[in-house]
Amino acid sequence: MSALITIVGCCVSLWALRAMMRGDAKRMRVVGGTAVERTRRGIWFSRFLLWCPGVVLVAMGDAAGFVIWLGALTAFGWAMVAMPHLTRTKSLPVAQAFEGVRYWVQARRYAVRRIIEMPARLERMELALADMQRELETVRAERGGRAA
Amino acid sequence: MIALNQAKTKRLVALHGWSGVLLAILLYVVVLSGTVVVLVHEIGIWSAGNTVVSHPLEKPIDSIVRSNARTIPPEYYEEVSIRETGDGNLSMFFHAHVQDANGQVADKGVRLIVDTDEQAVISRKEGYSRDVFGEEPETALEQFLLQLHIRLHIPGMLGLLATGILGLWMMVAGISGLLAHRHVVRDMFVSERPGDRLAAVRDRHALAGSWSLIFALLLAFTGSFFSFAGSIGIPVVGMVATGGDQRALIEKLIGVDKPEDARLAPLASLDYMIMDATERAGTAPEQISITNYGRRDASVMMFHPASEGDLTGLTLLFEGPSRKFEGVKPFLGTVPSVSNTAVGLMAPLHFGNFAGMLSKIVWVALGAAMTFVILTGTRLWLRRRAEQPGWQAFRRIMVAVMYGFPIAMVACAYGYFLALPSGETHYWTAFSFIAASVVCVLYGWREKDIARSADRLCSILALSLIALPLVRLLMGGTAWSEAMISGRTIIPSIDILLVLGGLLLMRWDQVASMFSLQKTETTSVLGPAE
Amino acid sequence: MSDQDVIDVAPGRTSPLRVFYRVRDWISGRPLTMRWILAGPIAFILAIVTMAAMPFWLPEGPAGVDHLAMPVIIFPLIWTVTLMYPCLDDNVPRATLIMVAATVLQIGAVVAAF
Repeated sequence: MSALITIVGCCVSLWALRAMMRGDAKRMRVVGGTAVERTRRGIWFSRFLLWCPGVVLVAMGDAAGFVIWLGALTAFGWAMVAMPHLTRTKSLPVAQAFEGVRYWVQARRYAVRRIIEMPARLERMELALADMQRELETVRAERGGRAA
Repeated sequence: MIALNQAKTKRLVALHGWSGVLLAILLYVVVLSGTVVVLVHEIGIWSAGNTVVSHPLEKPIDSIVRSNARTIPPEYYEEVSIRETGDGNLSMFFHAHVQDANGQVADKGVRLIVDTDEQAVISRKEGYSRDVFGEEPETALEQFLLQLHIRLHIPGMLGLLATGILGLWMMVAGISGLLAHRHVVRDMFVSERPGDRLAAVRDRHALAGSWSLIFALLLAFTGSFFSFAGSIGIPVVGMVATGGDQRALIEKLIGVDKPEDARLAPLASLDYMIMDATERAGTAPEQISITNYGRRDASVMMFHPASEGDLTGLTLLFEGPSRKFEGVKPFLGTVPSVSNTAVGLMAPLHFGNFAGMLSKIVWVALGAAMTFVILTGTRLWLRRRAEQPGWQAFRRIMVAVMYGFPIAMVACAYGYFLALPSGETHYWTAFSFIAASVVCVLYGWREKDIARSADRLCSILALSLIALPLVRLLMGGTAWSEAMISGRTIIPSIDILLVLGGLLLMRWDQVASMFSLQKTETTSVLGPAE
Repeated sequence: MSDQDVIDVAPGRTSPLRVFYRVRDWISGRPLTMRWILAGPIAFILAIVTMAAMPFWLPEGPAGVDHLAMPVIIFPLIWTVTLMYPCLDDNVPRATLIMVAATVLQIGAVVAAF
């Protein structure tokens, strides 16, 4: 259990690190590309996610987990930062693979969102249809009255 | 980071550079061998092919200890160290603490290795601990790599002093680098600039150094402690505190406060004490130490590994004749203290073995990062001095060592496996290492074309890695099927890692271009060794 | 009043100040050499004597072993500090004075304890 929490914590921190990396203007000036626009809330949220697992591990009294988390953040964080192409051009196989996965995930998220929104959309369409029918009947009634 | 004037910064950069480059080769050897020996236990299982998964300390051993103790001279009853061997047998070392010919405190006694299933003595050796431990042919490879890291195979105290000084130098390099680098935090996300410029080489070194700084300092400090404690610390403090009697100092530190009672009394049931200790600690003991065996003042210490979430293990103390539980024994003294906590943390933080394979993987990654820092720092230094012939000669040597040292480590594995049938593994492991090192260095020195030298040595390393599992199997090593059945998945895992490593090196150009790690024809900005 | 005026108050007699200023000037004239000496053998000697003196002035702690174990534990740190300090201090004579004084103090602590 402790190992699982530590691994999850490492993943969360590395993900936050990646987000911070993509928003670092100085890095983008060096490797080329545009820094991802971050809101102030986004920046603080990334920093919170970065350190949160370590704080949680300390609060749980998991000294071993904390040391592993810190070591993993150091070693794998450096590896991530040292490879400029995870945040650079789309022309490389690894970056392309990442982009491909990202688009695949985005497409599925979009589809799931549409499915979740379906009942509300159907309801709106039914209401709009009911309005149109009422209007049509009103028009027909008016026309019928005029003919009579 | 810290605002320093130009003169100070210049001095720090000079200190950082010279401290790194003067000891670059030795630092590289110690750090890379340290990275490898994080997995020394696994390497031992892989090389010896141990498929017996037996834990003797989880079985009854009381009758074994008693029956064999009768065959040991009583002068060696001062302490009995009991532990498991790598191949599932029981090791018992009955010994006394004496001063050897050099005046150093040493353990001398009789070591027995017992097969707990057959209840038979497999081996019996008498002598100092340095003679009776580590002489089994199957342990040659792990012992060689371990001693290479601990003392660079330099005999006596000089070896420990050498590695201690290297650890100290690493701390100096780390701190001077931190102080000289003006924007450590601001540059944490800045990877190297594109192009084969000096600035790119500096960026690479600064980035790796910044990220690995905390653990580099921690590992250097703990490593220096282990090296200096026995070679300088204990003798100096012993000289002033106990008049040069190191044994008295060690006893004072460990906290021997029991009044002496030399009257004879049989030891209570060891099996009961093991059961009791296992229940209290939550894990079975990995080592047992009985002091004053057979006397009324005998005590039994059970050393338990760290449980989940803890960095340090537990030591439980029992009264020998009565088996009464006396409490948790701190490593130093008889009650918890700051120094006990500090010493207790040294081993787990240096070895990285406190949480099984998870912590070992992280420690290997940290070791690889620190090796990268050393290599890129040396490359930066040499790049700045590209026009000076003396430094270019050093550059050829450095390239030879960069590839030659891993080749030599693989060569000693070849020597081990080829000598395994004859049993002379200790000799041939060392011989192979030295021969491969000499050949690589001589070749690197003679070959003027550095790029060609690097390519050839890299290819030799790649091929030797790929062929090593095959040689292991051909020389009678444990087959994958047997290893999987007995649960020793580490054996095929290491074989696969070796082959993958070799393939990665052979296809380095493609891998590097995938990640756009730049390489030029003339300077080989990032080589496979990095 | 300059340093020379102070020295020449009693011409013909060797003033301790005159020796001090001569030593200081000698050290100031060789900063690189002095830094090598201070960061090299002097740093090592100071680290050793500090470790030797610490059992006499460190508190024993609850277990009565802190004064014996802590010097051994922090010896690498002590040596790092004594090695780096002469490189960081811009004033070489001051660094020399501090390190020599610290060495003498620690040796004195050890001798006094015996």
